[in-house]
Amino acid sequence: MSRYAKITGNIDWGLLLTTYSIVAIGLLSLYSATEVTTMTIFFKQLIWIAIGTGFLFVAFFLDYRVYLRSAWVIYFCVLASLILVLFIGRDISGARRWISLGPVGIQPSELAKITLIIWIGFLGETKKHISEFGFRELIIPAGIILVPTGLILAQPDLGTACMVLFISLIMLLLLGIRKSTVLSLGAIFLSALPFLWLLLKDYQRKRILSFFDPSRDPLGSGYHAIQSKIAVGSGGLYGKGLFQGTQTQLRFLPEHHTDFIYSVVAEEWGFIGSAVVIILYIILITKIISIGLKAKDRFGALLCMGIAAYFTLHAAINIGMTIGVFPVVGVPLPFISYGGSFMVVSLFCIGVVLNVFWRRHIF
Amino acid sequence: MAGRVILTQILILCLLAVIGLKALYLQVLSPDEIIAQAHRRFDHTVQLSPHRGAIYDRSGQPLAISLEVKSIAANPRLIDDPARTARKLSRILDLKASTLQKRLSEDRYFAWIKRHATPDEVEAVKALDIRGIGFYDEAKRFYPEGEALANILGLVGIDGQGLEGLELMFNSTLKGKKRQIEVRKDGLGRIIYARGLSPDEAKDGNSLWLTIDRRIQYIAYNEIKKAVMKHNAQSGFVIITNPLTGELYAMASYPSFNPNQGPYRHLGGFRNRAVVDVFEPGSVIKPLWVSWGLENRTFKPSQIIFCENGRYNVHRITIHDHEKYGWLSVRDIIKYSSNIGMTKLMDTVNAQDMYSCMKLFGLIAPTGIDFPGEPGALVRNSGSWTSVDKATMAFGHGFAVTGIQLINSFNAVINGGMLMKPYLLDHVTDVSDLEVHSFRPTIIRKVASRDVSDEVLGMLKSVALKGGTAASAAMNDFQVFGKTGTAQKIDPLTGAYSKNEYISSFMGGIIDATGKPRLSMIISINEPHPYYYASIVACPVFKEIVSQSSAILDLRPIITVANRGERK
Repeated sequence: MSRYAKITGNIDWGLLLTTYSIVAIGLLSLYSATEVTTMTIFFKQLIWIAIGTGFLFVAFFLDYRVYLRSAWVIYFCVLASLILVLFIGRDISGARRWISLGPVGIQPSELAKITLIIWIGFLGETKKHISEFGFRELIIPAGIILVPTGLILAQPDLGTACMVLFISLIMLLLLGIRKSTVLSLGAIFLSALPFLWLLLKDYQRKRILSFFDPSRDPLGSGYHAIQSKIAVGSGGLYGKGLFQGTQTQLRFLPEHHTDFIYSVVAEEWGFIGSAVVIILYIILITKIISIGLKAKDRFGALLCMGIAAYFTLHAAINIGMTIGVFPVVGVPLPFISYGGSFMVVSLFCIGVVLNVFWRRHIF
Repeated sequence: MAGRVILTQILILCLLAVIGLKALYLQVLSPDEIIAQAHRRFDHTVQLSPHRGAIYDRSGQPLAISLEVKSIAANPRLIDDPARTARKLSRILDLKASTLQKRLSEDRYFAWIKRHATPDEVEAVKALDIRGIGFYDEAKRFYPEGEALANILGLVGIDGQGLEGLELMFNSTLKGKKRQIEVRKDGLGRIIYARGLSPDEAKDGNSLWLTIDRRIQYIAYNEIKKAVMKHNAQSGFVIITNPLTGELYAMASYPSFNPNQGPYRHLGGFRNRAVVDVFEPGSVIKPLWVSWGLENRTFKPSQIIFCENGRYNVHRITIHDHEKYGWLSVRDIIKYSSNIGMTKLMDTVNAQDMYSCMKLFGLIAPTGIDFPGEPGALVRNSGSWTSVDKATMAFGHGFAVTGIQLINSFNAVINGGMLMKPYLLDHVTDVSDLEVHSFRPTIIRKVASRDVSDEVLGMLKSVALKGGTAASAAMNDFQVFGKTGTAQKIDPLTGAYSKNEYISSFMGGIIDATGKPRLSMIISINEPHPYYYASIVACPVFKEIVSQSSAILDLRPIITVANRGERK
């Protein structure tokens, strides 16, 4: 049997197909969303998809155990870039989130998510003997997680910081934490909530308040929420048709090609379109989890679980904020939102999962 | 770990299911309300103001026209630096920088910076090339005749709606129909496209063509202004009409206002006193009683009355004449304006008949002239009139009428007995200069016979002859007729007739070589000092106006007959 046949037989074609279906839907929506402004965004996204696909290939052929061995190296590199961005980052409306590399900008915080997935996988692999983590065992991992989270908060980027925390938390829970520890940690978190509220910036508080009542500031912090709800709702069952969305086309909805891209899908393709997208995400995530369950080792399984959590949280929070289930936080929609780093990281993750799948029988 | 994974998977599914359900709710179960909201966001109607029609005088000279001017506005959301922009604009536009800055900082899409800016200002602001500043075409109303016609024309507000005078009366005719365009706007308030243009309904305003002659109006305004100033009076008005048709050649009030300076400053000057103010007419009313009495054969022209040598008691009041008269004929009672004679003449007439007489001659109800705010007469119910009331009413006291009522009833007395409807508007044309309405002289009713009318006209001619009260109005070129009136005003403090405040009026006209009354006029001057006799205050105004406007009205002098007759 040729090596070629061996590879093709070990590729989860369903996962690839699902991924690129979502990518295709994203491109169409982006084309529609940016039609009135400029096409360069569309072509840039095409290039990013190409680059991301390259990374997917690399990840697919690269033994995922490489990450296990270099978990600390990766971690510290990303940590360094997170520190660097605070000093040399491009200042965009008061936040430093981007490092310019020639013509492209990369977001270290995006890399931080995947880095922590790798590191927690590494933790699970190296501490196989611990079936349930207690307080004492969690001190070092907590520090490992909170340092990059704090750096992201300093940019400031609350949305991404929360994302990093959530993903890490889910992975730790999957790894196994003692019930008593979970309960006491939960209690500590709840009692800390009021203080966290005080730590929030004014605009962040406003956003959260206007989530509960968008009409309190319909032209300000509630504007996005109301507009995207209108856009989604006016799509109806069948939608207005491609390029026919008024809310998005007429620029009532700012940032509709990045964080609010789902409203374009929903408005132009109606409930049918929005349901299809949700179902595609469910298929994607389910597939990644099932690959994780079949993984040869604990590290591979944890990688898949982390990546599944990563996509789930992004998709759920993004769609949720678009249709008014969650407050407005700057979280992109995987494979659909415009944005280079995120697209590349996402496709790279798919490559990692495919590699885990391929290597499930090897060793 | 597998158990936890399955639990997680279920949680993920639940989460996404909740989101899917919310989408279902938004998109399928309740989209109507949301779609309506969406339409409210981008569908708007824009009203395009039609061009307001012009107002012309009888010879086609413009009296009120709308010209395109630029107004400057801003989209405050696009202004980057309100403080700097405000400073720059304030220097050019002569507006306070702080006010401008406040306006430019507001969180909205539109704010006026300056309405009706001058071309220089517009050019200067354009040169600054500030983002978020725009220029809008608007119409500004110009009144070439300024103060002279202000009381008739009235004026329009900044948005072009009629506020006073004919601008108010004929606002709907002048303003035309608004054009509604449905537009779609994008999120920044810019119009994406327009649809539903309704050109059939859209219409520019119609134009008014008045019976007013701009030149006569100017003369009338000038002369009444001069007289009011010369005699230290409060105010005055003049109405010049064609007695045969009821059309108005001029109607001027003083004080007036400059309608080009914008509204809101001259509240007192807005009034067209000739139409909206009532006053006690005094002796100018006498020809009317005589006309009625002759028509009803209550008395004859030659009938003589003893005028009591200037003092006559009716109950507790004493009526005076300005000179001591003995026996006077009806004709002389008019010529010398004897109050006692007139009172005794009317003594035989009962109150009800006097009231009907006033009604017949159009002195009770408003005349119906096409001008807003015309009141009727102030007169008590005839049932409550005492003999004193009747006596004073005989020489024009104890009731109040408007100037337009007076001149209109006077016209009926002298034009052969026809009560005409007075009017200002001759015809209306649409945008393409086609006549859409025209107004003809309207006879309200016949109030006296030709013979009676001629008889009274003869008496009125004698008033302007030597010895008559209006001798000072006599002219060489034309046959003048008329009646003076010097009415005492009621002192608002005492409630009694004042010894110092009078209304001095003259109501008269001229007959030219055609032998017909060609022009009639009422002049009324309120509270002149120190001279108050109509012959001194009002009659010269009449003469001046007639001589200045005779060429305009193509009046034919009747030099020959009169002069030769005198030489013989």
